[in-house]
Amino acid sequence: MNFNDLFSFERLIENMPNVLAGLPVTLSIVVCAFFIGGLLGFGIAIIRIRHIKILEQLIIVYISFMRCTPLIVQLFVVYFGLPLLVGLVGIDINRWDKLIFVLIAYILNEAAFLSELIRSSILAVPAGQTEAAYSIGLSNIQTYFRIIIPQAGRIAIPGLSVQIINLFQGTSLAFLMGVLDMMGRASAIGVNTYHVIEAYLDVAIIFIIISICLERFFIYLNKKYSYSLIKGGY
Amino acid sequence: MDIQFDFLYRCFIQGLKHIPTTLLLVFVPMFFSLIIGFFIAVARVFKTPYLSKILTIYTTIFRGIPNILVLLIVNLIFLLKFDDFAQFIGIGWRVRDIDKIYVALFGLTLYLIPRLTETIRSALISVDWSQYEAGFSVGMTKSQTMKSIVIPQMIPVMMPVFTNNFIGLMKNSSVVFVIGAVDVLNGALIEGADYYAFLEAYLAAAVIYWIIGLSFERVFIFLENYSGMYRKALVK
Repeated sequence: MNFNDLFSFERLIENMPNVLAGLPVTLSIVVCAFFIGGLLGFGIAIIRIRHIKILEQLIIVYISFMRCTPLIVQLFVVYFGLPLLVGLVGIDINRWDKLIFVLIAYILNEAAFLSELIRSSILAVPAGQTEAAYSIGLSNIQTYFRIIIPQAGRIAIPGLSVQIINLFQGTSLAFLMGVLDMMGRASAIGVNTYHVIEAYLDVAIIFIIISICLERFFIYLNKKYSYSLIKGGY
Repeated sequence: MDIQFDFLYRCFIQGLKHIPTTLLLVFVPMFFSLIIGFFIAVARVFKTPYLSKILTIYTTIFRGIPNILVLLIVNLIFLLKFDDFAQFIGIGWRVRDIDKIYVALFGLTLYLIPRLTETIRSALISVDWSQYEAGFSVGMTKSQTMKSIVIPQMIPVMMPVFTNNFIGLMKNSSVVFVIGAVDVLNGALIEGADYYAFLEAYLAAAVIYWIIGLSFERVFIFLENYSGMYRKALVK
């Protein structure tokens, strides 16, 4: 067996468009999980900051579960467990597309991680800011949207960058459920042609490029929005 | 279909038996990555000529590859090329003689090195240059300064991110079932597959990982407080 059997650049280039066709699926998982998870996480963070009884205890257990168990286990627990849970109410969702279960799992996972991030960022805004806002007559909601969230957002940027890159790399697990994202397409190519290594390398290249771009983007954002933090004092 | 607690219990017991494997999959890559990552970080922080450039490119590129992809590629190359390699260096081993756990260990180490390098590098940068100067001024060599001044200050800074790395690796190690290594998840799955009890198997694995994760979290909170003791003493 010579080297050409294992790897050839022609196949690497040939497979690229086929693998790239899975990128929209991957990106849609990332975008959905990030934004819906972020909204959910924001709600969770508010509940924890306000110490709403019973709900808070439930959420602590939920977050600890999501943080301590592997994503892949969560994916399959949602895939097998959710139809069972919804079946108790009498709704049959067994025939839903797999992508929906994958999305739900990623959203739930992301909500837990993002809520911790959002909570710590909101708590990092000094209480004096809230008091200052109240003293000039802003209402509770106005204070949140005009004073606290802009400042918390700035604090959250480094954490967000880590989180979104992790999420992006985490989507590579979705192919184990049979979703045809980049990894799914790569392994399908492998089954058809017996040459899977080039397809995997294509996926790796795409992942590397997008990860680096995301990282650069967040470094840029961080520089742009930390203007007053660098000069010292806010 | 309901959850069968009988199967859940059996999967749980099978999963528990494989906890040592999961711990092995966490500690061994962690150990090697810490050593290699430390040297890469030192080379990058002190700007060793040429080497630091190459290592920077290496870390940037390899940080972008997801765990499962690293494992799949390593496994594939192992399956296709190990026989030739073994023949080349003249040992009698074949692919089937080697337990998949070693491939998994190798893949996880490759996955972890660039990530730990970043953790260690950022902690190393956080120690001020005046600390080195203080060390040199009392006549310490570079390695002595490193050992007795810089590293003790570096560890408490590193701890929170290191905890994340550690628990992340613990979770990521479950992916090794794609290459056929038997850890907690795969152990539970093999037991569950006999009865088509997949949900039970995954639930059992989830509970075990939860327990391991929570106990590691406790240990790291303790270590963080312990390693950061001198800082608190300063504040008082």
